[in-house]
Amino acid sequence: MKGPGYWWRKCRLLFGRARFSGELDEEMAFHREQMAKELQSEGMTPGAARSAAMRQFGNAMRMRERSHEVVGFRAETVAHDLRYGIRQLRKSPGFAGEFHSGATGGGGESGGSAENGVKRACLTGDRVALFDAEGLLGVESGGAGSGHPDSKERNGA
Amino acid sequence: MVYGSNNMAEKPELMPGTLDLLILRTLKRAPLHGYGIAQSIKRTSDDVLTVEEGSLYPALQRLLLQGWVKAEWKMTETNRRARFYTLTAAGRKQLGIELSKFEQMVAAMGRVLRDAEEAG
Repeated sequence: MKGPGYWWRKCRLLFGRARFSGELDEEMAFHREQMAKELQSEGMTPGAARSAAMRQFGNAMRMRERSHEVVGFRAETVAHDLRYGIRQLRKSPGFAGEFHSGATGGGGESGGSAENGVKRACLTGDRVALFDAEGLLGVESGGAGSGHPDSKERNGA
Repeated sequence: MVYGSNNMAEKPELMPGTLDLLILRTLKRAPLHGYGIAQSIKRTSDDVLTVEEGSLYPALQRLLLQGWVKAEWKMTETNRRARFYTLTAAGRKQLGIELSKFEQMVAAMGRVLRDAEEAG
């Protein structure tokens, strides 16, 4: 049984997919640089060290995909996981939190939108408010539910 | 997956699931970035164990998601931004569980191997 902490981290990751990808790329670039430095200190020329580090490090794209699989970034599961995650968090008494989408672009596998244009979700107690780029998309309350607003009540913002 | 570094015929391949244990144990000593974790495991095992980067980063994401480690961007000694991983209280507890499971496995394998040797 996974606790609210797990679902909180999961939802944050799902909302912040663009940021996650950027950080992972930076992290892997750092790793390759350190490998190249080490090879250079063993006597390789900078160019040869860089090439060797690239070879040793392996396929960065594949590595990124595997990390994405771990956190559940497959397009077909994001919406489901997010709905489930929010539902789990709403069952936690007194839980409060907010998720932001890191990117300003539209949907898509690595885009900012978590689900149907949702850019932000705020959870307080057993209520969840979903916002898109234009404003409030809907509010849901009550312990059990779909985790997604059944009736969308745009506030005109 | 953790592999013996160069020569698969001479260097042992570790049992599946031991990578998490190695990472958690390495971070118990001090917070480290991904490269530092890989280097520490390699160095401490006298170059017997090499952590593939393709396994290391997915494993770190899994540990983050479980809340067993936390990550923070910091500057290295050479003034380069890097993501450092720290063991959390939950991670420390998990390390104890993983360690105990591993020791049980090793002891059980030892018993089976000794028994086979005696029978042979």
